Amino acid sequence: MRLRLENLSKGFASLRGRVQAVQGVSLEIEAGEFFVLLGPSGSGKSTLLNLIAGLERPTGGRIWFGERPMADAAAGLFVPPRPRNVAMVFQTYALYPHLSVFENIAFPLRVDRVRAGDIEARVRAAAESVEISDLLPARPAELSGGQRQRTAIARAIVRRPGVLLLDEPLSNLDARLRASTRVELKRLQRRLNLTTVYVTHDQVEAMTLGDRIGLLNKGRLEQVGRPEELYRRPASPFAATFIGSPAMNLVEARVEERGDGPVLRLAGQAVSLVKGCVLPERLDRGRLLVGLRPEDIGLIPGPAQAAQGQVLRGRVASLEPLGRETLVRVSVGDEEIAALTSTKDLEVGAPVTLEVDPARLHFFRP
Amino acid sequence: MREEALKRALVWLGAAGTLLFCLGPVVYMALIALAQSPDFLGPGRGFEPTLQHLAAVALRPSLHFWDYLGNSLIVSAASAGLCLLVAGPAAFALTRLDLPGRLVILLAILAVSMFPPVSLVSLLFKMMTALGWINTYPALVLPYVAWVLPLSLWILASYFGQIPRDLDRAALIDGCSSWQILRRVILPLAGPGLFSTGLLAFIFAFNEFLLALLLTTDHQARTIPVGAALFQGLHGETPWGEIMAFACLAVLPAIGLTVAFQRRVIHGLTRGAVRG
Repeated sequence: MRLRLENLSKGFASLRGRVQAVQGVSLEIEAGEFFVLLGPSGSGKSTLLNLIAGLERPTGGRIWFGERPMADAAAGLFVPPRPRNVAMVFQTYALYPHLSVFENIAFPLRVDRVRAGDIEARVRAAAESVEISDLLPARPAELSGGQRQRTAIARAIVRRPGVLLLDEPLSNLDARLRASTRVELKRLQRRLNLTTVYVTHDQVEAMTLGDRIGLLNKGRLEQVGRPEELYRRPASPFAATFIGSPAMNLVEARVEERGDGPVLRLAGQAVSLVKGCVLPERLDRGRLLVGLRPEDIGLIPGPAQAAQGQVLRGRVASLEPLGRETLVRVSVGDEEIAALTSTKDLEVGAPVTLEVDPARLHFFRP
Repeated sequence: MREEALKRALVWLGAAGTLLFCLGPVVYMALIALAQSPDFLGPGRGFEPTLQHLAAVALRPSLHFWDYLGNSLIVSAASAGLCLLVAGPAAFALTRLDLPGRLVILLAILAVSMFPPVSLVSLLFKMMTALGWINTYPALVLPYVAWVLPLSLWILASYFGQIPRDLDRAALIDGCSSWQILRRVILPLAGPGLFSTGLLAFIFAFNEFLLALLLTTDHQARTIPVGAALFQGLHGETPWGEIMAFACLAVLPAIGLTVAFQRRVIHGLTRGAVRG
């Protein structure tokens, strides 16, 4: 099922006045696509999911499922969840505590008045696909977090929904289980070829699961694209710092023209931009924000040999060992720049040189 | 060690004192019901056990014990049932649906329950007379329902309020209508709450005296508490033994219900206090 959102908005009246949770979101999600809505808490991602599900009524804009309009605020059209044929996995799993695992999975079929024989077969098949066949007689209270999660997924897929919606489904699992469930979820989605919208605040989940990611900030779509697009070419400072771990450095800088080409003046030092750097047309002069990913910076212990070219000089401000690599925060002028390095023998206060590849710089309007 | 023993002694003492205070009158009532003469504590008298009072109450048709009991059970059950029938959906609407001003509604309901019943009695009497309902079941059931409804509604609303909203949303996604959510999800989960609320309504109606005294005239609708209170007028002297026997038999249903379901009642009433 192909989804189309057009200029979708949702406002709430709250005690603090009117809150605009979703603002003018336009988006197309292809049939069979695994689409991730990523954003910090309060960015409107869950509200957007609820709008797609039909749990909430948009205050502006339209929603189409395939060719069928599901909501149109201007025309007063609103289709409730049932005819939308969506399924949803909640962060809390929302299993019915008074029903067995079997009855939980069977619940949507019973509401749909599916024949008893079919229910039996379909519930068993769904349970099989998430490997909980032996748990069917148990009550939700007897299950572990991971088992509850599987039950919730089985309940969602048993009715062969047109769209599968997942609202932070992994955030209540411990780290190891989260990683393995992530892989399984992706496989299941591929096998069933389900159009999936997945909400998360975890950029690692978004990067690993999503065919495409929609990055939300304050109710607006900041950027939509494949995971590596968001990583390689972030469209805004928000996208730049939200995606990638450790977060990208953002430093205020200025472009100056010199005899041998443009130079970036950054934290009181100059970085030559001639080699391999394409400045965006509109950003080419004056003040701007420069982004450098910690993993794109080369770190050399000791002061710079040649005081020119694409290097910055600084001192180690702090060290955070991450295992294979160390995150080093380096004071450069009055800025602090984080760099990843596998170099071991570093000390706080020691002089270091940072090598910057102009081709890997990101430029934003301040 | 001694401190431990002292602590235990104090606990036992406290428990015994509480029991004595609460159960003393009940035991006294039972003893009088079983005694040959009610003044067995007086000088020169002794306690001679007999079942004659109990037998009289149970077997003499002119005392109408079984009529009163039947009336009480019917009125109480009808009150409890009707109360749940109204309070259940009302609590659902007040806690789950997007109702404007639901806090105002809940508070207004609470305010209504603050009226002392005595202030309404004369009006109720006139109303029931006009309706021709004096000495019928509806004359008791309707005021009882109105009387316990606010409390029931508040208990149920807090109970429903604890059922996670995600369950409603899940049921909505799974294709349920509002009624189906109530029937398939909320009511089964609120079972203990409904049960204890119903039981409270039942016991309230079973014990109610004032309205029953004024709105009934004879054994066709009169309930147990009124029957026990008016017992004495029938004979020349006050038949204490029989009154107490009557009272003993009358409290049995209420005690039976509470003992049989105490676990569920306590669970229902304290659910808000402790998680789970």
